[in-house]
Amino acid sequence: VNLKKGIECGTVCLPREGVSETVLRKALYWLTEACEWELEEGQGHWQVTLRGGQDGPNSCRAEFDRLLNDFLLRERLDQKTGHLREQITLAALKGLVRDDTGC
Amino acid sequence: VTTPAVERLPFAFRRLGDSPKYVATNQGAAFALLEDREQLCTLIDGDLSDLPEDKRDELLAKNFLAEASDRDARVGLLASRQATLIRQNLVAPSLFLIIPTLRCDHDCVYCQVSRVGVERAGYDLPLTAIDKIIDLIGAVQTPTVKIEFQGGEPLLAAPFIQEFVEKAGERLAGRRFRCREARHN
Repeated sequence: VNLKKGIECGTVCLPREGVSETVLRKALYWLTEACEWELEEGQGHWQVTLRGGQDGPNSCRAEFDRLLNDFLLRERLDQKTGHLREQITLAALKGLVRDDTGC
Repeated sequence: VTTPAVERLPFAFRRLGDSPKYVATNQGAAFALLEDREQLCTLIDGDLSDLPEDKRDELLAKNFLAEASDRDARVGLLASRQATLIRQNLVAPSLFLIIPTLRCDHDCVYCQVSRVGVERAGYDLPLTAIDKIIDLIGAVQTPTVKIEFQGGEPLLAAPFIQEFVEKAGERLAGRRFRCREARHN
């Protein structure tokens, strides 16, 4: 990522306790290409620097916040229901194998 | 009358464009519209008794929620529906995606697919693959077949597409088939 071009939108510091690396990287992955980012690992926090944006300097920050909040919600949902999702998927696959082999 | 307590079943969600609404989907291929982020947060992390009664009933009917007494039955139902969806796609797919090239001469900001520069060699399907692909499609017993050419930029492989469409017209005679290209802008 070339941070020399684009307009700086600011640096965001996030506590590592509250934001997992997986959630953070998913949010950054889905940012539009118009937003450039750099991720640094600090003592107890993540530091994200954002630049660019098609609709002004704040658009990257707004999009990042929205994505981050959505992936935080998905992580929380997975903590509550992930075991059921796995149970459903395993039962579905077992059903397919049973139909296929007759066992 | 006491309303029975309900619990969450797994689902996925995404926001609907710039609308405040969210769409939730589950493994049984059901979907439900959530009015706003507050309703989404309630469904994920809040007190489920705060949901409006009609929304709660809808989410129960579509297996986004379960009562403690019927949770296992609903999990079984979702598994059965998911198995049916997988089976349909394994046994009788009606949509075939063909990627004749990964080369691309565009740089679209939204693009998430694999692509390489237009001059790169070794990233095109050879014309000799056409017969094998049509054999495979011909072996699938569906009356209607849709073939979509993706990429890269599929039109960089125009000779492949032209030959494919001509041969498919001859060899899939009697089947309804339609071809389209996923072009980039």
